[in-house]
Amino acid sequence: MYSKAIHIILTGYFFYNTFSVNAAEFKQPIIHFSITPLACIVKQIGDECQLTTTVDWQSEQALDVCLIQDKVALKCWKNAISGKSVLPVQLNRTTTFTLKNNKTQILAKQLVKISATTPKKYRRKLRSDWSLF
Amino acid sequence: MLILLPLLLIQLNVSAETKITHDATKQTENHIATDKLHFSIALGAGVKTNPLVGGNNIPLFIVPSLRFYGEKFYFDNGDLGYSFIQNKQLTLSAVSRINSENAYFSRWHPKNIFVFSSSSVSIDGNSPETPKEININDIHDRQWAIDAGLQLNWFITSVSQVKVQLLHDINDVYNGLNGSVEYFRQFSPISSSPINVQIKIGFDWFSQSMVNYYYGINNKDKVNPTLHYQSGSALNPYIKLHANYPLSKQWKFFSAVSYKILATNIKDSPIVEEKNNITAFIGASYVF
Repeated sequence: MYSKAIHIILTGYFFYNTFSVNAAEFKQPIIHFSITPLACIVKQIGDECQLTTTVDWQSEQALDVCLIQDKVALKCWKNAISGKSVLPVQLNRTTTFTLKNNKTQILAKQLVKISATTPKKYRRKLRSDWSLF
Repeated sequence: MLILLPLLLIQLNVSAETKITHDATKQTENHIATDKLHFSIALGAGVKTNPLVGGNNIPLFIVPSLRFYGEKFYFDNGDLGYSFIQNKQLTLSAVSRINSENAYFSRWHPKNIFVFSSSSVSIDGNSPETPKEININDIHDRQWAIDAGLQLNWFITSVSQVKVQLLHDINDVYNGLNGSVEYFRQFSPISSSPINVQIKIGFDWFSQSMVNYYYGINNKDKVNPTLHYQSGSALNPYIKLHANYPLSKQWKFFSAVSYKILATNIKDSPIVEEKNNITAFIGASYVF
């Protein structure tokens, strides 16, 4: 809940280099694939992040493709050479989004990271390391 | 040699620059992430001497370390505690744990459970002295005591602290008190090296009833009445040195040695034949 209020959407345009690598490594018709934002900041790790993402892809040839999050198809395109869509997604951990064809081959992928604003909590140790010795 | 290693390390000068450089690291090392299970294993060779007549020394090969700290609750290698006062310099906790003194009287104490060999190991390689008239097999079984009480940690700096404990058994085993005072200091003796050394100096204190329960001899024991023994409280000073050197993110070279001088009221007991208690270990630790 409060994660909705505090999550900060990063435009992430400076992450496009990441996309380039991901798209290129598959040697397939996809020439562009991006999801923005590429990161969501929550108060604590484990909090749910709700994002409105923009998905954009382009191909050299017409394809039947689906955008997959955790084995669930969020959006599919039929015989298309490009696609652009605005989708609401929910994340509670860093997630990889994939673009798959109808043979379920991964054509491109993109990581969307979750970070926490609250740093991990620490306290002083009350026994020293290896105090059993 | 094993005993000398940490001693050699501590002999090296610690420059002011070194202290400043490494304080930030130590602050992290002396803190622990909460709400996370911390599990490590030390693998190597070591021994804990047994001061009892006829008592086998305790070989050490695999020693686990299990810790979990919540915001107030914590479990740290057998200590179950709840910290009800916490600030930058002081933490006051209620703590409970199994009394470790019974380790000498049983091979199956949690401290001994990782023993793989039943053979006696002598720290100095010599055969044990000729037993006196009493063997620990002839005396009545000492029971496990569960202690509970208070622990005060005074954090002097980010790398040093004083710990004071006062505990009482809660399962009517010896009906007494025990306590300890310990000074802890951590430092890097070589500025250009990640070698890390910990030194602990302190003492254990056992009340008269605890000394007599574990080290006294009376009608419950199948021994000559002339050997009955009752004594007073005991103060056992000790020094402990640990040294580690990180080999990778998860592996560390690790050595430890501790030397405890047994109080007169303990070493004069007919069932005790050693004047001190030594623990030594060398090996590696792995953090999961």
